[in-house]
Amino acid sequence: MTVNERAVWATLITFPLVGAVYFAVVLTRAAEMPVDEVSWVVPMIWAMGLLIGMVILGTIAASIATAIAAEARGETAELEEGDVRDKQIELLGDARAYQLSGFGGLAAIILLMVGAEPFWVANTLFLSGILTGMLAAGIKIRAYRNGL
Amino acid sequence: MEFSQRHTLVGTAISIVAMLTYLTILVARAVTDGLPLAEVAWQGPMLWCVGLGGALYAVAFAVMRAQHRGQRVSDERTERIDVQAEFAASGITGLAVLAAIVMLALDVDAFWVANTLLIVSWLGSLAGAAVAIDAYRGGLDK
Repeated sequence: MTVNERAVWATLITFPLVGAVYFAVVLTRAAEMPVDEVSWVVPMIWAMGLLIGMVILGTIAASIATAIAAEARGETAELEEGDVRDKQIELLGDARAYQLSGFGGLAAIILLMVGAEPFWVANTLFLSGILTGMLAAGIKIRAYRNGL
Repeated sequence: MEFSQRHTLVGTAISIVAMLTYLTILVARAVTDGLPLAEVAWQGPMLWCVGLGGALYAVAFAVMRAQHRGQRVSDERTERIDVQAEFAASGITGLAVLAAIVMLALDVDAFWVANTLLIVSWLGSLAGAAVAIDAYRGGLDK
């Protein structure tokens, strides 16, 4: 498994987790008070930081675990760098997921047209970003397992 | 000219015309009514330009597809071009979404947020189209 593939797995696990926690926090706040008083900015900055940080840490942890497991079996760990195939899979996943992010942008523009609260617009965009990231990771995992 | 190359060129032309029409309407409204740009009613023109542009593209696509009836219109090469173009567009569209979220966090007027989303996403699709057009002219493996 290459470093890129581990990062994709880390994304596939991190995005739904962080997304679920973020929306649980923000939506419970929104249920308790008017949405224009909900402070969503700080939680979202945290969530974005966690998305990036956890993918990096997850990738490193997975690499270390692989190395330890290989040592335990008395083999040398194979930690491959990415190659042309990784690059192609990366392109494919991001390209195909792009269409979903287009719908998110359109939904946000329509919300802005009808004068929705910034809270709903920003969270629609954030949700579509999380879903796009998950879709891209899913397409990449499928390509890793079933070939391009 | 093959089908996928033609529909990329025609789609790009339609999208540029639609966007220029939209921006012209906004500026014209601002100038003739003596309003600041951000207070112009942008919702109607945006819906019309995006809707009409999309409909025109759908019709053009259907006509061109009918002209190529019975032929294979996609192969491994057009697939690869498609993926590279969408990849180029996806990066810039991601920036548009992030920029819009930051603007919302700073409580910027809806006019600017919506138009940033529209125009930057449009620039993204234009960058994708440029990659595709270049690749059709033989530049895929440069």
